[in-house]
Amino acid sequence: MKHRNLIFFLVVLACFLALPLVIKSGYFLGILVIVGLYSIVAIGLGLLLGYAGQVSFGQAAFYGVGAYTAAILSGTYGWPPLLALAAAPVIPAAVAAVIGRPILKLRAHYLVLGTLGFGILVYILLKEAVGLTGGPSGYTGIPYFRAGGLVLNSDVQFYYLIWCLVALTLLGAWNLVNSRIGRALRALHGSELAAQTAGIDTARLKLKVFILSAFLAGLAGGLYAFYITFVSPSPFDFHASILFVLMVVVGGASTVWGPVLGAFVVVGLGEFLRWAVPLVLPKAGGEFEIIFFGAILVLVLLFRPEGLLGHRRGGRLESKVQKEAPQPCSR
Amino acid sequence: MLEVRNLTKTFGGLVAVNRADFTVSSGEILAVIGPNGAGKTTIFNLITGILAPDKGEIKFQNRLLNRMKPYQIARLGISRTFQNLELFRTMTVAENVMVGAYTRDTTGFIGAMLRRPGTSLQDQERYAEAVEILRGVGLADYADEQADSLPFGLQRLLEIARALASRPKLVLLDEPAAGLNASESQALVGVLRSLQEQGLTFVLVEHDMTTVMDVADRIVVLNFGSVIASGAPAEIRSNAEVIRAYLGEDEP
Amino acid sequence: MLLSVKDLSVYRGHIRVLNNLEFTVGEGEIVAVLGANGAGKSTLVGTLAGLYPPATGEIILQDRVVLTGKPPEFVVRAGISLVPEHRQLFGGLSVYDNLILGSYHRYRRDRKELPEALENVFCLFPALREKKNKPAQTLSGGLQQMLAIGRGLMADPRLLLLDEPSMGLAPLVVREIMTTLSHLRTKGHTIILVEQNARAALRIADRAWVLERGRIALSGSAAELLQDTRVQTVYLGNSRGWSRCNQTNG
Repeated sequence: MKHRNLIFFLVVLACFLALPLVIKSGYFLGILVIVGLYSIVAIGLGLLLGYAGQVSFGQAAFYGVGAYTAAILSGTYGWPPLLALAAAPVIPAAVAAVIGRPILKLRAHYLVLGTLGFGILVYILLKEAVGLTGGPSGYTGIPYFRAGGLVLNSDVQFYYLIWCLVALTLLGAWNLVNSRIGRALRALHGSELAAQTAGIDTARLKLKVFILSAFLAGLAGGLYAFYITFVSPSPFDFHASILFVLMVVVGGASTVWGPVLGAFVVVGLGEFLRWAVPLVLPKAGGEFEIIFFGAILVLVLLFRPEGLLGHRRGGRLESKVQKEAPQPCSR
Repeated sequence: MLEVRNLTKTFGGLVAVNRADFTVSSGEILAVIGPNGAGKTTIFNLITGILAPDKGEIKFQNRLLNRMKPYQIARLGISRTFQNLELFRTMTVAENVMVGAYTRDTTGFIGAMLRRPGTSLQDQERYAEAVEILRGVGLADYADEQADSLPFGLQRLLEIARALASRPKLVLLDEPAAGLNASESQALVGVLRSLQEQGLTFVLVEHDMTTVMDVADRIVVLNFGSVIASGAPAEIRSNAEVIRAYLGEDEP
Repeated sequence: MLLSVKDLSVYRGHIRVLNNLEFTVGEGEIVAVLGANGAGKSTLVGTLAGLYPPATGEIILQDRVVLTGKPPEFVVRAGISLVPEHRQLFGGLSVYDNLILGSYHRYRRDRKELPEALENVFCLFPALREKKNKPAQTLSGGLQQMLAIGRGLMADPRLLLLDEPSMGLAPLVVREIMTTLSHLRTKGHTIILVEQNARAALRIADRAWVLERGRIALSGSAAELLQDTRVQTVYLGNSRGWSRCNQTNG
């Protein structure tokens, strides 16, 4: 089982290495870069949502804080890009560490509301702190990403950089999930009470995963800033947070690969609808895509409640399969 | 080993535990019996830190547990099972037991992500160990099944296996024989006895008197949150107050 | 015959839990069902209540109503009511609301009879009347079980199915509940009783079945089974010490 996964991992890796040799279109490469960025965010959210069972509708805020951290440090303060990129995940992680304790005390729909509120708050800050962020019109003046003598300014270069990081993130997530910590996460999802009495500091563990998810979102944000070399608040609004949750749920929340597949599906579908909807409904506005997204989410939840890659578990009744029990007296 | 002194807990005016006093000595099996609603499960929740006591103190090996969190108490060597089963339902039977061993390993969050050498070896050891513990309670054949696919009575045994995986000093069992038939509970008594010989201490809440009389070294009887009697099974059996409040009169 | 079951097989997932069961239950009987964990006892009463669809066989009530494959709400209307394992009360709702919900399917039709039905339950379990407005989850285990039985009775069933009513209850309370069940029989109720407390169950039952791996391995009158050596060692625990205690359970 483990070897099959490793082989699968290597095959996929090889495909990704070869892909830019086949695809020459900047448009498609650009989409793949964005899918890679979203994958990093979604893998982090997948750990939080699918394994630890904690929902966050505020991941776009961490993504945005990461992007603006990289932009402002390298643009306004003239930090070397590599250093600015290194700071991009740290600041959101620190924010998560501060807000994590109180916010993770909330349960279920209160947690949804709490993280949603946080996301909106950050979005407003990005928009209103004009002196720092450039306000609604955005922040310009982000230098090209350079490390040593190497300047990254093409889609192909970013493609390789970002997908290498996706691979590393996947590997880390895979290791985490298949460890004592991963078991503890699933345990706290199953029964927080029993997890505590097994000696697991559940509050601390939840906080750590929350920080990790913010860290990964911030990393993706920093990469985004250097890739586009321009940031504005709109990609980090609450709509984006919903898309991240959608990616995780569609792909399969309790799998490591699921969120990546989800990122492909959501981004790909968005691009497809943007192209297809005007052909069918010439007068339809951009909001029409949302309707289709909604429909897809409903369909996935109806037919694959565990997500596309999720393990198929039977319905409630089937999951309680009874087994023939050996007579204890005959032992 | 465990000292409960003057322990009191009220829920909105209702006194659930009222100045309860008892001790548990190392290596014994103590049964706590009493009518439904007498406060037995509440006492377990107070000892394991799920509830905080209003008054009184709980000491384990001379350390005060009153203000500790459940995970801290677990790390001192107290583990438990739950009356209404708190299994990790979507995990396998073996994984449930492996979670029980959580406190015995040290791989941290970042260490796990980097998968330092030795981690998977440790995991394999834990798995083998889990199967061994499951064998002890008769569940080895189910190791790779999903926990909630087991019938109810076997889920209880799984909770016991999980509680043992941390190598605790003291195990609290909340109605371990509920849902087991006579021969199944008899097998359970055998398991507990052999664990006792290995040095474990047990406190159990149980209504099946045959099991209690078979397994307990000492019995504490609770009624309305207070200890009304304690002593050897033979004494309790003939205690008039216990018969009146709990056991019921002999039938012809 | 009140209930006749032919060739009943039930799968849960891929596992065949019940194998070609055949039995009948007569009007006014108490039938006890014994068996190890995983023998299929809960699946049997669950199937009779319509929770699990049978793979083969038929379930017929009063020689005419076919219940095979019918959903639980149909089965309840037809007159079979299940008091499930672990009681499954509506914890946040009051005792009164729990009882009224038991009569959900006849609430409109028999509205005038409900006060009387309620009164009958309160006569059976006077302690419930005192706690009428308390949330079900605040009751002690014994009262919760009484409430679960009361809720089952509010459906006005011809056949009452009970899944381990004695679980987690003090000996005195077990005795009280068993006495009540026996009293219900004298009033004409028919009961199928799944129990691990075999001695208590056999004491009040007319007949009993022992389920093993989804088959009825043994059946007979309760008195016969009490004398059966295998039943004695496996389900009654006669080889064990404290016989007085066993009696108190009865």
